[in-house]
Amino acid sequence: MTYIAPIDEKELVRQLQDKATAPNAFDALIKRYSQPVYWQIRKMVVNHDDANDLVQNVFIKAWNNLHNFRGDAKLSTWLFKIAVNESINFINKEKQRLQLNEDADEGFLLNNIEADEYFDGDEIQKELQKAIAKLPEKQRLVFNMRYYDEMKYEEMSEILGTSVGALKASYHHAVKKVTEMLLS
Amino acid sequence: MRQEDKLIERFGKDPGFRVPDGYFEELNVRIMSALPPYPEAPRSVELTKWQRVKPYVYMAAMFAGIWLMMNMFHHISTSAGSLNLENPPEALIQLAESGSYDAIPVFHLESDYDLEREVCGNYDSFDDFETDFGYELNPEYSSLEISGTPAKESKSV
Repeated sequence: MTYIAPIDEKELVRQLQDKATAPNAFDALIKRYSQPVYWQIRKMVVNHDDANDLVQNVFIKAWNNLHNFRGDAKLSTWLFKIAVNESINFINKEKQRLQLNEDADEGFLLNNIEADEYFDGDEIQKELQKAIAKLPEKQRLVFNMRYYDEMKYEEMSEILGTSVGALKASYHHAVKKVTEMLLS
Repeated sequence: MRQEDKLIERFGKDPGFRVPDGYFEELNVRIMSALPPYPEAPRSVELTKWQRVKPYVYMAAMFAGIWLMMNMFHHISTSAGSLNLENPPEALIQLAESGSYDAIPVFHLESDYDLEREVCGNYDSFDDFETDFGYELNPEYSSLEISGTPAKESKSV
């Protein structure tokens, strides 16, 4: 019998928390959210191979914590939250491994842009990515979510655990810095 | 024009990343095959009656201990006699200096010599001394003389 994934998110959550229906429901969840989660991670870590490992970790973590998901937030918000945490942990581990300090992490991301064989942007796009890599971690997250994905501040607030006002200020500063780096 | 609009106009909204062909189809299959068995929700643990009341018993024992300690300290402080706050040594000294307390000589005498002078000045014989103080001296002391007075006959105690 062919499984038809429910359109209603509440029904999908109910199926995920039932052992009998969970595998099919989780397959539907991956199909629905693997791309946005992957792109969110990719914009943070830049390198495709790293993003590939991290997106798999995100879904395995989600699977292992299905019984902890109460349905208070949207599934996408929950998955993005795990993805953001995984990305930040990965970047911090890489910085430790490469013995970089807090302010020198853009060097490792710039190298990723140069070395990534799955980056096919032109020089202008590369220039923008390099400017984004120089932003502080939180501003980089906010810039990616708002500039590329046009995510609502309310959803970003739920994912990042920061107030809407602080996020707006963060985005404003990020845009200003990038503009000064590239257009001044 | 807003700064954001200038960025969009100049750089667009494409980050320039791409993925291998068929990547997401392969990713979905790979994630599904890597999943561990369905995680069982942790069962709530049944607590025994003793485990439920244990914190309260410990707390009661702690308060009982504190109460016993406070009682003990109170008992020690009240049985310390004249060396407590209700009857300090300074008060005793003032009482003695006022002359209304029999122990005045004790506080004024500074040495055995002063005591001897005090006894010699007030008593001519040991009999008077014994009468005043209501007991008989050891025969060893009775044989002594007070300021040259002849020793009296020894008495048995």
